[in-house]
Amino acid sequence: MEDAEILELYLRRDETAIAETAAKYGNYCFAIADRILHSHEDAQECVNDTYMNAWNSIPPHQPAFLGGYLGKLTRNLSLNRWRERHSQKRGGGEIPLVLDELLCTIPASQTPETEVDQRLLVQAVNAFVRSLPEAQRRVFLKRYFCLASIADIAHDTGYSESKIKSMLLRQRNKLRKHLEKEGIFV
Amino acid sequence: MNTETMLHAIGQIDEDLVQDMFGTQRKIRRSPIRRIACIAAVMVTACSAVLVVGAYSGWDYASLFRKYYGLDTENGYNFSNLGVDLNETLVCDGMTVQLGSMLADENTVRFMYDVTFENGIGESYSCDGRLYAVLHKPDGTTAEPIIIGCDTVERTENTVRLCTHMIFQSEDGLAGGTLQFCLEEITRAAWDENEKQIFTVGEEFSVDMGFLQDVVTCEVVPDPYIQVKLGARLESVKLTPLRLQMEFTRFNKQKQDTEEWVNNCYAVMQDGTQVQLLPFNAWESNTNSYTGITMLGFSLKTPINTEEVTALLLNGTEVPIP
Repeated sequence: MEDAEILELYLRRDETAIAETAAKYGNYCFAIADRILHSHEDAQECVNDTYMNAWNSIPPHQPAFLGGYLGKLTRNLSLNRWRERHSQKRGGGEIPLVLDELLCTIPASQTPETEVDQRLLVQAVNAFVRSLPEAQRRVFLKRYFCLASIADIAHDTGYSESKIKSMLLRQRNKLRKHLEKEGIFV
Repeated sequence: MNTETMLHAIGQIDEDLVQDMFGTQRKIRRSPIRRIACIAAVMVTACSAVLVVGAYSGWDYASLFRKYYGLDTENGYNFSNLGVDLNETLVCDGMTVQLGSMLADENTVRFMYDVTFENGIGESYSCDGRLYAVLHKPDGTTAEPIIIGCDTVERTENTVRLCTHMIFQSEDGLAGGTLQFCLEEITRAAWDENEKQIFTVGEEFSVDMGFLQDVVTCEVVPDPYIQVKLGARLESVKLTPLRLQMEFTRFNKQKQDTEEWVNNCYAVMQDGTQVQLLPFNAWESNTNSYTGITMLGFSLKTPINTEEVTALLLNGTEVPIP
């Protein structure tokens, strides 16, 4: 079923919208949640929460890209669940590694007290991601949006693991420079 | 801002970007049958191209770089410690790429390769190889080039020979490291912008820079400082076979005519002759400031035998090399 048709079901409050969403995007949402949580049970719960959130938010929200919207919902729900589970101590999985990697994308502070404007930061990150060539953008998002492992990205894209690492290193440096250029500091 | 903030920000990117990531993904690797078919098709093209350009097999960096960058054969300089031949062939959709030779010194790399298009070069007027490179230094750290430029050195009906130049910072020495690079894509530009074509390569290579041995570098820190023209004081100068780099202090708050400097540098050889250091890919730091330290450097179009250089003439000022 096309996204527009599924969206129409949501707007009509037809509960088959959820079944159609699960049929089309269930595996995709599960893959995102499972990469973050490394737990089949938790991932499945997050996917169910995603459907519930989608049901509650559409309408009034009408996403132009249903898959992207569901992906963001799943990611954020999964990260929240991961934080709850690891509030005392960081566990395994990709998140600690990704957080370490992202450290070098953060420009040095000029005024340490300044709190970055989250909206401006999102805009800058958006512009940066759009500026990347398609293949590089896919690798960047797989790593930092989906939190996929280097091995998984290499498998998905056909690139070698060392190439993925080099590409990500370069992208992180470019992102830091981009944020500096936009005047976004700590 | 901390890394969690950044992670959260990435999670808020536009939905079309997220959807696009899943909707268009495809693997780079092609099926064996398609690959064999491509090889067969390209072999025919490549064989005919060999007759035109020659030197597709058995790349020889010394003769190649002499041919295109005017190395003076009478000079007798032995570049055996500066080059390596790669001799790799990549078969890609619509073209084949032959990775040829590399010439390098302490901070500079020139990498020459041929691209043969299955349907010929056609009306396109230029080609450009887009690559990224990372230097893995012996101490475990990495560095990226500060400048990457691409030069078309020869073209025939089907084949274009490109040379990519990479310049690293002075402190990022290539010797002893490993240069990892990926030729990402070849762009074939046409007069009509709509006909521009991009061919994906996406292959990665590593080159052990161990072949760089005993590269002679001339480095001078003039003492007392040499007062040079145009309100700039020369602090240091470094000459390698492929590059000249100077460091100035500007003190008269007047913008300098960089172009005049770049085009007025000569090496004085042991026999007294003066050889102009022809510039290529010039770069300058601190360009927006009229005072303070400025780094000015360029690649040498024609490499120089640094063993025989006795002095430099920089915009009319002689700087002896000890």
